[in-house]
Amino acid sequence: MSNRAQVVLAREASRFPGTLLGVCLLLLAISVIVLKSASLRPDGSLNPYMQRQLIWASLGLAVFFGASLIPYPKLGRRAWIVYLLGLASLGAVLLLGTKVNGSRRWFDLGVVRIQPSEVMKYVLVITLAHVVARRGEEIKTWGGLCEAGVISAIPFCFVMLQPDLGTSLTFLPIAGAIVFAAGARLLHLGILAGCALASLPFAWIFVFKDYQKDRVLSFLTPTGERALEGAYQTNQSMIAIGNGGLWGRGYMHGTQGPLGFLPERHTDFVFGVIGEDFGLVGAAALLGLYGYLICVLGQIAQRTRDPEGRLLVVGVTAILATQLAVNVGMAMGLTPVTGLTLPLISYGGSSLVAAMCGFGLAASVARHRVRMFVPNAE
Amino acid sequence: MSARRIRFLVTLALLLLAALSVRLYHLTVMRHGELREKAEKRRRRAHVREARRGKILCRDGVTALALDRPVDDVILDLTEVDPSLSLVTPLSYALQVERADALALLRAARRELAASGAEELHLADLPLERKRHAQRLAQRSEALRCELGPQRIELYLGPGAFEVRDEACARLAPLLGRSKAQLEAELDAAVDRIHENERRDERIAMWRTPHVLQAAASFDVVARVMERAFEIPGVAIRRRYARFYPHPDVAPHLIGYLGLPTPAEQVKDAARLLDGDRDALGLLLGERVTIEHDFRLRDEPYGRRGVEALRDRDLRGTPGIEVVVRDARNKVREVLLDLEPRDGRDLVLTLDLHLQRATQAALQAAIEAEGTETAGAAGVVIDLADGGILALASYPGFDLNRFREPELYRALREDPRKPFLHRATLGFAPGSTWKILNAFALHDRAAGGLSPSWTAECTGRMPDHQRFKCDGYHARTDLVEAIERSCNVYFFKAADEVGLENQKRWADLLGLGRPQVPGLGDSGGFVPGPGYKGERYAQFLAAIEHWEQRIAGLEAQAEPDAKALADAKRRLEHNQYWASRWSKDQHESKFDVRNLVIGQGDVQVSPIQVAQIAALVATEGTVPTPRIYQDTPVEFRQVDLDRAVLAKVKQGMRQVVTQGTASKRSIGLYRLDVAGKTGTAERGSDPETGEKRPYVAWFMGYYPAQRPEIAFAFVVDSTRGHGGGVCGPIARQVLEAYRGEEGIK
Repeated sequence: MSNRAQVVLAREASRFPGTLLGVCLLLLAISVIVLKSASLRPDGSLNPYMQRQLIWASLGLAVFFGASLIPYPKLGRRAWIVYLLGLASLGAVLLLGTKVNGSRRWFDLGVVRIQPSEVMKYVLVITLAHVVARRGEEIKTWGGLCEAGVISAIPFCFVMLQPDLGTSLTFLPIAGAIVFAAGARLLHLGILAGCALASLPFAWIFVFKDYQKDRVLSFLTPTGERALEGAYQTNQSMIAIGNGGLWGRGYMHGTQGPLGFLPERHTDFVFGVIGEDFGLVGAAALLGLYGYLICVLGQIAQRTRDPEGRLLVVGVTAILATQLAVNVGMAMGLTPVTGLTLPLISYGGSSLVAAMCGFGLAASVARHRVRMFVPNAE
Repeated sequence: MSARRIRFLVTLALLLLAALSVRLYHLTVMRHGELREKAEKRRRRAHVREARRGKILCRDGVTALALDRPVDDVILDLTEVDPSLSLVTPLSYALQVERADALALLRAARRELAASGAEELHLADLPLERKRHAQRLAQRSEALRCELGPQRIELYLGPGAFEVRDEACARLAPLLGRSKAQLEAELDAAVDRIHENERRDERIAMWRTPHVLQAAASFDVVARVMERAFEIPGVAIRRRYARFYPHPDVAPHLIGYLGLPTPAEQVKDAARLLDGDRDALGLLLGERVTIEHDFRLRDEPYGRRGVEALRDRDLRGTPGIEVVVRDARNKVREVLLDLEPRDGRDLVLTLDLHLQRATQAALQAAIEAEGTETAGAAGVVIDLADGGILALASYPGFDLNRFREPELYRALREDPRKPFLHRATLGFAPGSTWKILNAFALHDRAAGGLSPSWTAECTGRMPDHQRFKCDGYHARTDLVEAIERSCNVYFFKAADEVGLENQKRWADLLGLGRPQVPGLGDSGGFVPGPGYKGERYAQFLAAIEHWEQRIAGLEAQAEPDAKALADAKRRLEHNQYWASRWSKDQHESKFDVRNLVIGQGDVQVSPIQVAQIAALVATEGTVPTPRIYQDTPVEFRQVDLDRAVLAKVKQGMRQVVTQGTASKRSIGLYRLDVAGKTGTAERGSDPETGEKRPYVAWFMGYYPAQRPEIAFAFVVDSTRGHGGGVCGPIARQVLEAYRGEEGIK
């Protein structure tokens, strides 16, 4: 190996965010372990989730490295292309997607099902980061804010049309976090939030579908006669977590999961399985790991001087935090039942690969952070 | 763009995580118990299996007087036979009406569809925003169709919703021998009962409980239903145990019967009552269950009377419990616990079926011949070898299998003869049969008694009082003659000499005045001793004080229990009345003693106790303790008898039958080698009419006189006849039955 190559390698290694990769790997390992428990069938046999998740995890790792190698400013310059591609896939899924439980969210490619809205979150982050960073101080004006708003609103509406209320609502905190981090005026943000609140009643009447209303209602009145599907799932999940107690019932020794009482235990309600198997100790450790991940990402963001990179990482972190809060909150009966997954743990290719891609981009930002900020030639 | 804002965002995210952790702690630690129980209840199911109650057998150990017999119920799973029922609740939500109204709507639709034969019926309209409700309804039943109109959703109902039920009713009705309309009305009523319940979990439990179409169905019906069950959804045969009395008229008072637990008993036994799902689980969560646990099923009957009640603990088995783990689809995945039901113990009585029947028949014949309209009779036959009670009869009785039938029950309740009284264990005035005990008591030389050769001059009445008289003029009488002719004056005069103490002491020697048979719950009766009137008066005074305090306590309460207060006042009045009566009568006079000596007045003993006196003579002082259960150990009571007195008593009792008060040819006892004593207790006169009240007639004795094997006592309460005439024939019939059975003498 040449001397120069060694120097480059050493430089790259020193810049590479090893902690980020380490935490991601740890979470993926936990995912594979937990999914084995979550795939127990009542008769003792296993669903093949663990093996498949292993494949997805390898793919996710590849994507992570791939994304970390992309020089993100180049990606930013093509943000509009990525954005339009993302919108096109959202449009296509509305027309061609497979209808599952009354909404079109997936492309069924036979072997895998792809959920474009998962990817769209990251596309939105890339686009917003690029646009907001390029506009610089304009974000402090209504004009700049509106531009960001429109960019977020279009995919938001597309996803609402699927309909997928949960995913579409995650666009709000993501966009909000980026705009906030970019330095938008609190007054402006406050006014926007006020408007959003004021429009809620109209949205309830004109936009929300019946089953979405049911879910919200069942969340608000979980024990009444309105024993609807959402409340059933939440109840079972809470029972699973409570059943775990302090130390858990032991790996693969839960009852709610293996006997089939806890629905969607490998995807949306995987936190219930963790709570039941590993108890307060295990679940809290997992939350701590996520907290550490957020801190690592926050550190990358803080150390990056390039606003675009910084916003990119903020966006990725916002996605992570939002999904985490909504999914874990849902498993413990704090938030309504939505289709949001637990990042890196839930079974499912789209969400895993998309999340790893996001963290890869964050790694890319970390790698490029020493590069001096070069203002655009104007 | 500042690092501060990023730090703020990171902090915000960490705060969110902290909030989640708090909730996590809340669920896993603070609500752990509750949620764990829910999880366990979701996965565990308990099935309870009935145990067989023990048999009650005759002394031969084979003939059953009570047994558990498997019977078959025809049951119907309502949810399976009437799918339209699952529409009631969602329909009530969709239409925003009460469940009862939704049910009525469905029923009206059923009638209309049946009447018109239409393809479909317009059931109701829903506003558009309740589309989701409509969809849920349509998912429940294929017969329900919702059509999305421009303004509203229209619900249509096809006949399919009721087809299953109509068919099932049409097929079931002839099998059960009922009309289809009857059956439908019955099912409707059952459904109404469920929907009246406001609690959802209880409604679900009620739905799961099958409806009993016919309890204890005949073999014919069961066979017919089983043959056709495959084409009638939801119908099944369920086997269970039912108590059955193969000889329902034999010793009903002694055998007793069962009854369902009262609410009070359910509260008392709540800790060990199981009703399948919930309670068994509650027990199992808390502790490890072993076979030693004394469980009861919620609908398991308690012994209510007689042996069924007295030996309930032995007869009752312990139900078995099976606890399984089920998955979400209700499939059994694991068996956690499988306790076999433990059948109850069989109980062998000392009763002889043949002799018991003969005794009952003889009592009935005597009552029909000599009884007044309120008369009852009782009889007891005791085996002298081991004290086993061969017959313990009370007349009138009842049919153990049928007495609960409403009309029969009302007739029994209103019968002035009080058929439910177990007279064989109740106390009566023993009349002259008491003289046998007093023959020993008055001639107990060790305790200041008279010599056995003591005689008395009988002039038909006592010189000092007109009321104390004899049935005849007996001249100078010795003990033998006094017994033979039942001379009152002999005993009056002897009592005047000796007093009451000896009588009380001799009664105590035999244990009279106390329950005789271990585990029978017979009445002790009352044998007065010296000073008994003063004691009785003191008891009334104590009772008055008790009830006065009680009333004061009740009235001091803020809200006195009106019922308890009224009851206390009634008792107080009762005690005050009697205390006022006894206040003038606190010391027994010599007239009282005379009365007691001939078994009248305040002395009360049961037929079993009177038979004990006969046994004392027959065994010459080695008296077996009466037993009703074969598992009661055989015990003897030793009483030292004066040989001279004993010889005279024996002679006297023999002569009662040969030439005395029970020697009439018509009685027929003279043909048998029997010794006995008659008794006729008077009960004074009715103060209003001045008419003499009917007597209590007795005959007691032993057989054979030469080498006694059995002792017996028979009593007829309320007769105008005398002891020998009324009860002598009973003894003859019973002894003939005994002799015929034994094949001797």
